[in-house]
Amino acid sequence: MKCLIFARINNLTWIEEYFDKTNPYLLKFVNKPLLEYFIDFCSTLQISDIKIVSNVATTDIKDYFKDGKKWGVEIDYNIAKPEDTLKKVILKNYSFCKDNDVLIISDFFFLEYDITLLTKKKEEIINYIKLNKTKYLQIMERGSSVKEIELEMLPSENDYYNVNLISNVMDYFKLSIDILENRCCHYVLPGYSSEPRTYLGMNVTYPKSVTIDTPVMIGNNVRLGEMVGIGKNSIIGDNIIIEALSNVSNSIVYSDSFVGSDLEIDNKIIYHNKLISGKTGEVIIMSDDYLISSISKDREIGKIQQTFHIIVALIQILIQTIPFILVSPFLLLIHKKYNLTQKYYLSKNRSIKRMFSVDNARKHPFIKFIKKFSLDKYPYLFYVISGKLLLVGNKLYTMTSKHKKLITNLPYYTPGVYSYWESLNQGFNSEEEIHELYYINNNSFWSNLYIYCKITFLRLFW
Amino acid sequence: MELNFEMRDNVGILKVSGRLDAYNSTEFKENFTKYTEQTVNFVLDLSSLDFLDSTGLGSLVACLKAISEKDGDIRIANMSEKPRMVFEITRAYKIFEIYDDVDVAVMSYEAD
Repeated sequence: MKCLIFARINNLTWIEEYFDKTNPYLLKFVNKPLLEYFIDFCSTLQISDIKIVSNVATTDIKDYFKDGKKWGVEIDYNIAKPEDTLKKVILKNYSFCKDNDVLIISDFFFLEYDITLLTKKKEEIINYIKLNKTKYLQIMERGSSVKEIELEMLPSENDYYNVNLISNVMDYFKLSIDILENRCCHYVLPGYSSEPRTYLGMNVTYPKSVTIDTPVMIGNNVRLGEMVGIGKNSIIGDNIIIEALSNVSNSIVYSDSFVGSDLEIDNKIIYHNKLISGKTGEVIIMSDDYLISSISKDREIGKIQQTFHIIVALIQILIQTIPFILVSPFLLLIHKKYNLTQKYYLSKNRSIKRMFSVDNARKHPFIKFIKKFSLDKYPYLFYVISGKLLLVGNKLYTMTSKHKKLITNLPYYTPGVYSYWESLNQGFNSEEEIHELYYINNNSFWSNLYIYCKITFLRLFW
Repeated sequence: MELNFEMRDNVGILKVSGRLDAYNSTEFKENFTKYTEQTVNFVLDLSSLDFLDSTGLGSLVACLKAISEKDGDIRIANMSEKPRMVFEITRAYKIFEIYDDVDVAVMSYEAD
């Protein structure tokens, strides 16, 4: 038997509201992503061939599960269009589905099961799913048609599993705490368990003054300060710092969060800089980083690379200063006619700066001449030295509503004097988003060097 | 880049092998334009496509736009891992129908 998981993201705005861009299927329930419970379910039923299809990019899912070997399964991935139905997805993956019975898990829900029962009554459970197709869980038998896929039927109560529809943050909170408190032995949960209902991850450091009550789950890379109290029913994620004298109980501190000193956290979810009430869903976004905040994983430009950018910019400034001084009177003349400035977006938060630009006069013979020697880049090089621009980065976009939308859609925007888009020498500006996303995901020290050399070479000889 | 074209049930199956990048995207577009004289519905078999960059993908998008104006479509089949990553990171999966089998992709035109 195989399994196809359709990780459809549809009407899950509450997750985005509270957990930003976390993929809903990677939302952690007791420090374990939702999708991992599905994988465990399959693995226990001895299903080893799994395909995960999503209607958003599966990159983060793939980064987590990779080829699935860690779970003793083989995982393949595919993508669907945002509007695709389950039937369409099965059709698009028909060569995966056609030769075997396929367990189909679709949509966002928490699959409650008891792993001991699953192991004991495997055949019985498979037969039950075959006979009781629901829109969330069904088996498509070998040779059957896509038309037989169930899209409407809701699950009924049974002795084997339960489909728990999580429709808001309170449900999420209640279920997470309930699993830790009452049903942790039903699942394989992450961490070492030296005593019942206690799970400790790797690289957890805490002084002797810390008190920990059970049940508790603490993830990997956690640092607790002096006199910190971790009360019962606390789920502490990965990469967490909790400063001295703070008390956490009946709460979830989500991965990559920082909790400041001397705070009382009870019945709360902390997600980076958000303090969420587990009982009411009220949320406060903390602006004071010393209280709660995220442990940032933003893109880091390596120090060496940044230094290299500055050195190259300095060398170019040294070479071009005299030629630029010589051409500047002509530029001033052209400026009067064409206005050689434009407003540009300098960052994703759309800080704007009016800068030198030859775009308005690009057909002027003199501008063509100075472009040949990259003298039009000269004024931008000072922004590289001041750290406002990179030497090679995203295209520097002018202030228009179209570009505003494009920048918002990019995962990050770090503009450069030279860009991948410019190196393509396409002469048109369609598919900009594709090129920018491609650059963002593929750039490296060497590719940036290649882009710099290619643009300089192209300008000089074409 | 190597292109193999065949017609099946009024659908053009275009198998793209090798690399589709900045160096041959224009050639791809020119060839594709020639095939559009025979049909407007295409299945691109990308099973032997080893490398796709943003320019290559840009040419696929340009072809899709052109064929959509003639009420046609381009559906992708048998995409290997590397091109699939490019489709994902550039969000091109939102505009293309992607199948894991050429036959099913061809049949999907009938279903429409």
